[in-house]
Amino acid sequence: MWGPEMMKTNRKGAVAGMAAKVLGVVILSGCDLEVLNPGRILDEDLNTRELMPIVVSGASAEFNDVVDNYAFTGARLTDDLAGTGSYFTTGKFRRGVFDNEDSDFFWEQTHEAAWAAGEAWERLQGVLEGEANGFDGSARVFLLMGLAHRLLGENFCDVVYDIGPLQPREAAFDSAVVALNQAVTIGMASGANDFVTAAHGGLAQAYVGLGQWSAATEAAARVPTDFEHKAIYHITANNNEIWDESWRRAEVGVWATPVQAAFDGDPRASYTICGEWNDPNRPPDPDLGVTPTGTCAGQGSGAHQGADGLTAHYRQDKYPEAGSDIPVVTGTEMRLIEAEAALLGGDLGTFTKMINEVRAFYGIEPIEAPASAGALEFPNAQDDAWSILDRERYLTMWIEGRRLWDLHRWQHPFLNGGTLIGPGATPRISCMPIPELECTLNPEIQNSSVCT
Amino acid sequence: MRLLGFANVPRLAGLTAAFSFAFIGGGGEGVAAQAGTVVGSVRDAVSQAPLPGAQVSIPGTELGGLANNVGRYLVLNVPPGQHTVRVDLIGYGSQELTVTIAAGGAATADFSIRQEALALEGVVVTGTAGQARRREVGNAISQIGSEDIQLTAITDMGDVLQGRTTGIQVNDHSGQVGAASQIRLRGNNSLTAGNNPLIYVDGVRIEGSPLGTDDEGAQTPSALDMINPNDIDRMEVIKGPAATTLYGTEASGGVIQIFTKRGVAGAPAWNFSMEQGVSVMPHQGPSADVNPSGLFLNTCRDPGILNHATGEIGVEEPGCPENNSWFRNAHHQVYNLSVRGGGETATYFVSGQYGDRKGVVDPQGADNYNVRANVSFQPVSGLDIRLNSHYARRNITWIPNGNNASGLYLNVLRGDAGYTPGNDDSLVLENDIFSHLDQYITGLAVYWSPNSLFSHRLNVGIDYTSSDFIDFKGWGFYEEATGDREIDQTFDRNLTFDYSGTFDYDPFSGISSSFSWGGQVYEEFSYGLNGFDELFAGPGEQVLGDGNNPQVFENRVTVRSGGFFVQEVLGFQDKLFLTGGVRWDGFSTFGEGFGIAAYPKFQASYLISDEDWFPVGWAETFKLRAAWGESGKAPGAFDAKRTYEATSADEQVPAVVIANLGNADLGPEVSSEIEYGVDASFFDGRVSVEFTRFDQTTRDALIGVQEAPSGGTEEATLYNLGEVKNWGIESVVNFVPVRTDDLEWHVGVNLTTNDSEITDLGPLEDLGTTRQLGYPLWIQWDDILQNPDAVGELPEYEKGYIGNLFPTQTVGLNTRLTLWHSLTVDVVGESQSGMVRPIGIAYQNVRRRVWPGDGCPGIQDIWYKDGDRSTLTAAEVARCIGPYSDQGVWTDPADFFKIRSASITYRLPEGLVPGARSAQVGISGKNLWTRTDYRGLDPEANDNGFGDATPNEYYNMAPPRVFILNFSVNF
Repeated sequence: MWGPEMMKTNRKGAVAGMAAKVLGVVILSGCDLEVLNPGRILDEDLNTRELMPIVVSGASAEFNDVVDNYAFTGARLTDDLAGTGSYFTTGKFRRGVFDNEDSDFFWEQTHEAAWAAGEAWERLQGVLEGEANGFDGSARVFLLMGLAHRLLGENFCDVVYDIGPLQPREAAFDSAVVALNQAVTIGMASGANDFVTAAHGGLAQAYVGLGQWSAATEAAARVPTDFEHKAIYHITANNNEIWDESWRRAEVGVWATPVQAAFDGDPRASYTICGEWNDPNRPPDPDLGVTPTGTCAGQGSGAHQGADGLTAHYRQDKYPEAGSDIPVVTGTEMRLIEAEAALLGGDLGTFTKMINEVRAFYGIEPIEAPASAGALEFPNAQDDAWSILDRERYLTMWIEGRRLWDLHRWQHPFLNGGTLIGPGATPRISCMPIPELECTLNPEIQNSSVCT
Repeated sequence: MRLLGFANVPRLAGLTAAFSFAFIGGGGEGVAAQAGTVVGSVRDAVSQAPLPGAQVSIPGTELGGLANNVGRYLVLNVPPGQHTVRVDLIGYGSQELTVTIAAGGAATADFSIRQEALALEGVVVTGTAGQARRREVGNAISQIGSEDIQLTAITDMGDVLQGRTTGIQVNDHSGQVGAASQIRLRGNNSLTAGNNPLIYVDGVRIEGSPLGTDDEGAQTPSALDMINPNDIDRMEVIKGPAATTLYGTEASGGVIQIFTKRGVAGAPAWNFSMEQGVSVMPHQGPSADVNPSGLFLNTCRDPGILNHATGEIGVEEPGCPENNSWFRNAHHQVYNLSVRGGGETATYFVSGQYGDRKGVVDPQGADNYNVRANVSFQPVSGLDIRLNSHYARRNITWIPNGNNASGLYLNVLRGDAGYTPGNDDSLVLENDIFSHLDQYITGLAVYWSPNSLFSHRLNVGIDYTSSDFIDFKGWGFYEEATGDREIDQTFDRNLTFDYSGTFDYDPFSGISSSFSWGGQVYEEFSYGLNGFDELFAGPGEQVLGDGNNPQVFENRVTVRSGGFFVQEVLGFQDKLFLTGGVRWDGFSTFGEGFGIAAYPKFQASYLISDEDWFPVGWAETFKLRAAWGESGKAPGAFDAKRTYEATSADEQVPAVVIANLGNADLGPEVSSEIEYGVDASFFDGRVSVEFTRFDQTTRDALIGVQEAPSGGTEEATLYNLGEVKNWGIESVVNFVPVRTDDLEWHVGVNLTTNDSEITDLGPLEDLGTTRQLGYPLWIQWDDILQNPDAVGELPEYEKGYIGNLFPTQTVGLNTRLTLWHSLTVDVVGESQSGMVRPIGIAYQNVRRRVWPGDGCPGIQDIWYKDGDRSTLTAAEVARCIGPYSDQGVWTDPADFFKIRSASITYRLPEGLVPGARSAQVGISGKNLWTRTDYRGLDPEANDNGFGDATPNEYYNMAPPRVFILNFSVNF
């Protein structure tokens, strides 16, 4: 089938064969097969003294990443905010239902926040060597580590560390105490006073978790009432999730919460009515619709109604910007810890004094000493010490991701079918379960009660 | 063995030269004053279309030539006497005519040849080392020719592939013009590395990923759609690793290769064609008796019809367009002009296209400009140099849609429960969304056959594609009063260097050998800039930097691979062919400890009908074939390395966070496949059957495995741990029930099945809900109602497997009736079944009490007003009462049958159009009829674009009906 002019030229064939071999060698060894990208940072490139503040900031970024999610989801699971949105989980969380697939994100992110702080500390030691113990960034990474452990303890029913066995949540508070004491030590050595104060506040929180009220009040006393340590957000770096979900989307609202129903006007829980129910009855008929008040015009889909398209949007104003920071340790919380310790000790005088110190800080009229310790109720009757403490903690730490912990440790009556909109589960969840992923990957707990 | 294609290059070039010389110069006067000539034409027996490039010869002599670009031929210097004249054309049956030449005289021989049912002598090049006849190939290979393309109603390239052949699943995700279809070859086999096929155009790999991002319109365009269908000569599709071995890493999802038209010697032959069309959206949503407005889409203003949201008579949606509908009858127009011709040593094909396609919602639509120039040179015998160049520009105007709070459908369908102020949904259309796409493909192909033993092929090409995506909400936009603007600019450059050589010889009588070797270098450079700004000071066309929060993000990655292969094909008596080969690949994304990937292949093809003992009779062709081979999928750019990414923490302080832990031993996932089958034709080619069974195993599948989160970071590390199995059958039956001089009726039926199972996930039980151990790849795993019939009880759910997200069975039906060689009716239908799809619109509308179907208004009246709730079943509550409803309840079987395309084409009588060689008119339609029980807008709709593996209908536009009137003239 070949043309007659063609000749069999074996010499050319040999040349071609050689060319093929050369080609193969060139392709697989001569070519530079490296991935080229100027954007990624290789592990070894970080071992530079000048980069240590950036490594510490990375640990902060990991911690900040999770705090606002606790605040947002915690608000939906409790009576902080009502879910008025479009997410598949809206109705489920509003009912107080939360399973071991829902908890995955929080478990992973919180462990990573603690891990990132630990990894940063290892790098600080490797690069700065002995100077790491006097570096203020070292105090900060231990503060972040301790607060991450505190988050685990406050939010999860049980904890696990290092792919180990199941432990009671107190183990997380123990870990927090160890890390926060280290933060105090290094912070004092490095002159990082704010980190030291924050670490004392974190210790007070952790000791509450351990039920060690004496140690808690001792640590709390080291934190002045006007002190605040916050998880930091920024319009470009990391938006505050609650702001995003209430100002930009209207996934959550204040309507039907205790803030709107009972504590209206408290400066600690400010909100704006973006849409008015056309039906003034309680509960209103959603079919009659919502009329925009115009107050929130131009603020996105939550201008007047929730993302569910039905509920009048009452927008939280505690975090009015994408970059609004979320308190993590505050002096006012310390006073409330002292108040609670006093209440547990039957000292209503000290209790009232601490409550009023907090109220004064926010410019609110003082209260009279309650007549009795009383008991928690839902809705809050506000007439006894426990109801007052419940109210004050609720309002002071509103949408800071702390309410679920209070509901749990108090076994609050809200957990027994309490509801804001629609029915609530009986019981509502009060802590997050160990996630399914941990059960799958951790042989130590695969057969434990939380995984089977 | 003889590689007809390579062999043909010098031979055909030589003949072309001889022919052209004679044809153009009228030479040869002195050679044979007594000799005569043979002239004539070569046409398709059914359509009477001219067949350029058909090879005419006089057996026993070296005389012959090629039909020119209008199907005419001329053979000079034919000795006087009686001669047999023969015509051959790939894909057609040969024909011989006898002529008698008088001294110095001329004879005419007009050929009319038929397409072969199984074109075993036809040449394929995709998946083979060089060119190979189909009889030699052990794997199935699908081809789609230009005639199929001409008769199909086409609005994007996916239409070309739908329903015509097996093993290909093409889904139209959206009615927005410019939204690309999703293409899968033999389903999905990769857990994490993507399942889009590789696409080559004239040997140059083009971009296969979605072009740019379109979060606002919820659809993405593709580079494939930038190709002008009128430029396509044919397409070859190989579907699995058994066939794609020589493409190595990245080819396990199959390969589609497009071959564009080439020039043919002769005077310039022009073609002009024009399309005028209209797109029409049928009634949307539940039936008209409960939903007369079509979910407020078809009719948004009518005082006399039921408003399903209020239960009252009268629909008056604020912002409703003047024609009382959100839809318009959208005009589209396309104009093509091409010319092909050439001379002794060079031929050309040049084409251009302008298209303007309006979408059914104003201002949606797209325009495009395409230019192509393909030039071939044959400077010396045995050398063929081809330069193919293509430029395309496409401008797409999107409407905001899909899972988008400021999307049109989301707000219109939800009625008062949408997010627009005063329910004026026209406000969302003030969001300007554009994609401006440019594509430049150029490739140099050199075919060199220095002698009868060696042949070489070199392909060097570049594909350059850019996307400029703009999403602009101007100052005063209802959702962001001070406006915002996002820009996504992506640039993808794909470089292909591909060489192969073949050494052919016959070591013994009756045994042929063909040894091939070659190598390929591929480089992909991706560069992206994403910019954002907001808080503009005032109105106008603000750009980045005019606002108060400018941000920019840059991404650039270069990935390279290099590989080489060897292959040996042994032929026995030109009936039995055994092929063995291996490809070795290095890849820049492999871990440092991995080394080189090797992909072997073995094939056998046995044409038993050529055996003497094969019973001659009604079965004229019977080929058995089997193939086993491997190919792979590479990890991502930095999967093997431990890296950190820069971010900012606190008040914009620089920070680093872990990005990837890395795995130095990371290699490609490897898919191995065995396929076997039979190709047969019977009754003089009037019945043909192709059957293939395939079984794939993808081992070392790339999966991200993290330690238990309590161990520290949540970051997963990619390991080669998983395994996926795929299996299925592909069968095609074509038959011609009626064949007369004036009528030919062809019917084709093809059946594809495809199932899969994830058989290993390392230590994991799932990779999210859609990929679970022991289940098919990509499933819907959701809440299943446990007590549907319980009266007076709330729904109880349990999570479980609801169904596959991709079809497990596809049936294509096509029929073509040709009357009087001039009137052709062509219909293509397709059914897909075995998959489910979440109906996001129904679920979300139920939660807002604006879903008119499934009896929900009545059930909601009972629940929310004064009815007796205890009379409702759990199924009714789950279906219609928002707080208790669930997406799992609103996930339906998405089986469907659609008329994909129907056309009637009439070739006008010669002379009717002055000056024209031929002309034809036609009318065609797309999406003309759909049969489905799916309760959403369309069972193929997908909110997430063609790169997505978890299709979900979520407020995105269904594909409309399209009617096209076309006119084509050749001159």
